[in-house]
Amino acid sequence: MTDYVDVPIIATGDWIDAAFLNQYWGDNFRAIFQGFAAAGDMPYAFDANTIAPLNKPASIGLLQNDENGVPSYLIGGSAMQVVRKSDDNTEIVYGDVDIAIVKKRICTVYNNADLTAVLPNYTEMDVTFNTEETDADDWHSTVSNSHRITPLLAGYYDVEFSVYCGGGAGGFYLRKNNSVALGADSISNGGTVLLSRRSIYMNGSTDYFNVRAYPTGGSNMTMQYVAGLGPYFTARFVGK
Amino acid sequence: MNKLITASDVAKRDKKDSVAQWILDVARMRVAQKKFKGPWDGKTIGGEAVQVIVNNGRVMARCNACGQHEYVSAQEKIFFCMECGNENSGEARPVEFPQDWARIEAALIARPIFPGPGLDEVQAVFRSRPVIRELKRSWTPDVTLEQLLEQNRAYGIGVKS
Repeated sequence: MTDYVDVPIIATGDWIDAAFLNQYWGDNFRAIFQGFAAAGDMPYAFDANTIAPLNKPASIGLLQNDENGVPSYLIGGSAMQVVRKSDDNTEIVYGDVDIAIVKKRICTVYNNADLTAVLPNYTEMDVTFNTEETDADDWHSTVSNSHRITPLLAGYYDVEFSVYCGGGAGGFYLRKNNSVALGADSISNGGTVLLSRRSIYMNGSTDYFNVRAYPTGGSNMTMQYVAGLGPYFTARFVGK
Repeated sequence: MNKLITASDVAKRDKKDSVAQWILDVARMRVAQKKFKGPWDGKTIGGEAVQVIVNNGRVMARCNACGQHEYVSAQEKIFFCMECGNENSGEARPVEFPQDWARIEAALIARPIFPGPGLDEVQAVFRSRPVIRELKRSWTPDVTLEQLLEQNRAYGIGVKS
């Protein structure tokens, strides 16, 4: 930061000479430019008497001022927080509510080994997924609640589940939050099940999709891992 | 420098008997330079009053018509713009000083300065800098006497009332 000197008002009767010009104009310009060696830096008034440098942003950035008028840059993802649509979708407002850094907006998970449901008849079990084919937005965990896909962006989603069973009888439920039924199908002696629903609203924080299996044939129902067939579970963001 | 520079000091520096005489002489030169048409007649004072201000230790007023600043004095409260001749009116304008002008003046004089270079006090004050940069010898009518004193007190400067 560099001090500069207020230039006095010049009235009739004041004598302006080279020393005056050097003192006020030359010195002040030097004061402003001192410390701004990097291309892209900008000067700003730190207070009534001081010029400070605003260093150029490290990457693409948006200029903002805080409530005290101090400028800074929002860079990268945080720049998305400058403005957003209002909750009722009628205007542009400030703030970071409901803003998430979203990379691919799709999550596809599967089991890389056979999964056998060994359960008494008519007792449900979670279908878990131990491998993530695509999960750049971290909507799924292989460690905790691996049976869920929890989208972190509020909006509408298409969801799909597919599985092949080599034998046995039973069914599958596709659900939201393990309570709202989105689809169901059954097999009597093995076969393929494909469940899908379109445009399901998710709140972007706690809502999740899950799949439950329930054997009914009195014997094991084995969900076989077959590349390209399943058991696959996919959720895809389609819009707000 | 224990004073504010006024039009009286400028007149004295230029060896004029009064502010009025200084205005008459300088205005004649300005007319010769075709700045405006007619000089002041030395008598007529009229039109809207201009407000006194203090800038860097100097007592001034701003022309209501063109924005030019001129030195003024509490002893002779007249203002004549050497840029527009008070809109070629041939009149000097009255100058309005606040009622507590003497105390405002004292509050500003209490603020120390580094005098600038110059052979006379007008030039020395014109080129001066404040010792405490937040305490300039500057004032405008929107600043109250109490605010000036409060600013002074914040930096340990008391003023005799």
